[in-house]
Amino acid sequence: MSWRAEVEEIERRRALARAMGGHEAVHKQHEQGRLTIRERIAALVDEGSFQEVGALSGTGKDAPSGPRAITPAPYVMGLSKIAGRDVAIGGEDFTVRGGSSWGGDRRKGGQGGFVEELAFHYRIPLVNLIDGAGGSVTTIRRRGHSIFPGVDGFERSVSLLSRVPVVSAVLGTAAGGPAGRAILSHWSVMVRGTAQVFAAGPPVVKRSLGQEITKEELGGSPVAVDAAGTIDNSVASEAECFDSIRRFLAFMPNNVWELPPVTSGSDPPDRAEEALADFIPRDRRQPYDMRKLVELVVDKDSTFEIQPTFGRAVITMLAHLNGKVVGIVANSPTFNGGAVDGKAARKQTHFIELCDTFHIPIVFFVDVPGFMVGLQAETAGTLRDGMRCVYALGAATVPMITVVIRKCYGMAGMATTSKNGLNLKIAWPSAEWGSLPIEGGVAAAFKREIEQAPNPSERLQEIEAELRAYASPFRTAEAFGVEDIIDPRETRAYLCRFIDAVQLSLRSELGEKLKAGVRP
Amino acid sequence: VSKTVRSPVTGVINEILRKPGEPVNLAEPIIIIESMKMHMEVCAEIEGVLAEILVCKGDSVDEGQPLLTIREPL
Repeated sequence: MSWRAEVEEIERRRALARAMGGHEAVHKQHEQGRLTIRERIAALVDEGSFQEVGALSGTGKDAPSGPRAITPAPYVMGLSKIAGRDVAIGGEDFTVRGGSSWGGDRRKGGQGGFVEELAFHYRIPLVNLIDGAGGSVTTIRRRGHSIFPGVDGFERSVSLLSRVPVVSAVLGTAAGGPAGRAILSHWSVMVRGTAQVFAAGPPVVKRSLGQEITKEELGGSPVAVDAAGTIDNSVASEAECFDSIRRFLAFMPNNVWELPPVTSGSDPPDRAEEALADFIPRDRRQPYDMRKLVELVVDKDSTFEIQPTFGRAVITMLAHLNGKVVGIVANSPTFNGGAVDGKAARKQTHFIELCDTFHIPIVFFVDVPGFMVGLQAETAGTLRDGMRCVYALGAATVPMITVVIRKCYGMAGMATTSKNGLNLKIAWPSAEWGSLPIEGGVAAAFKREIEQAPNPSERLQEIEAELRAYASPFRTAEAFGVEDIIDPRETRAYLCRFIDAVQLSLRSELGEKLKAGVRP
Repeated sequence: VSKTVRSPVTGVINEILRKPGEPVNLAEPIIIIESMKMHMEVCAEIEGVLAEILVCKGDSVDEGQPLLTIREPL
């Protein structure tokens, strides 16, 4: 007696799985400029590391003669390694029924699917490779009843976000559940031109609103990434997408019970960049390149920017300081003068929560005149989004260091300091701060005095000059209202010293963070 | 072919650096807008001749409002 026949049957069925939706469907997928799910996994993970789970799942049909025919399940997943670390990885197989749901006993992916359980119980990162439209109305015919939305498993997608890094890549057209899953992540990315994401696609829009619109117009990266911030980053190709995922994960710990990996960088912590000494223009109305400034301070070539094209008044980056992972939040004076609008506030809120969850210390590079003002900004709910950011900061417990580069004003300024920790604030000589900028405040606070002066505009300028003299950062430093004013060239050494020292406390604060209260 | 350059921000026209009829290079600053107390340069988006300036110093402008047009050289 032998089991060889059955072993051969396993191999036959695995071969069917590897063939996916068949030669023609695979060819069509390639013609669209897209890889198949199996090619994607192979391109992303460490070579030979993919241990597939559930290759035999699918829809079987007895053939009149010969072996049973199997259409593979439209989802491929398993355990893999990226940079030597275990990850749970899975994605829709668009070549089988367009990657729609298939109706096995247990879900392979998606809300509460095996791949999510794997990430949750093994405490390893989850990578979602998304290429599907979710549910299909054909299900109602098959089941004979309609299913209630989001039955079981959705709570797993949510609970993952407080435990392990979740990355979602949109690689085709995603609607419904898969689109929603792209958002339920710590970081998301999509490919320009070949990926689209929306709540519902053009046929539904046509039926509901009578609008004719292409899927690229509706959910391509100009809308989903640049305008809406629905997805965080866009990339030019699938190859660049996989490279970005590897880079993002390199900044992440395996889970919230561990710290992110430390790199052994060759960049000396005491490197002092001459360019920083005169980096800030003396004219306060002259903008400068904040991104470049940050890059001069952190470890060379270590930055990874999140949402570079959305909410551009704020720059959010992961980076290294002396090999330790830090989150950078920097204001960009080249966009709205650095004033925080609703989009920038949303971006900053998400990034603060990301860093807080994964015990990544935050360094603020501050040059913020306040929240964005004006009718447009008020209509957009800037104050609410802005205060939600202040709230997220007030609830965060991860260590933070504030470097005031130039302006630090008002409530937006409040969202750049640590209230639950050391509250270490160091300033450059170009720094200035207050509850509101002097120029705006004088006209209102001294209204009567100015109006009654023989020459009102002269009086306004006199008062401004008088108050500006008090605004010198050195006076606040005398009062220890800021902890230090430093030579800009010392910034890197100062930050590296404190980021090195805080590692001990980070190790003792590991685990899930309790979230309580109501976000405004 | 001509190109309309629009305001990147809401603000006030602080300075107009060039006159209609003058040749302009790509990325050359043409108008300075003050927005949120910051001076933002509005630059030529193509090389050509400055055909028209649609705003005056001191004007309030909205984000996206057309500011000038540049004609491509023939």
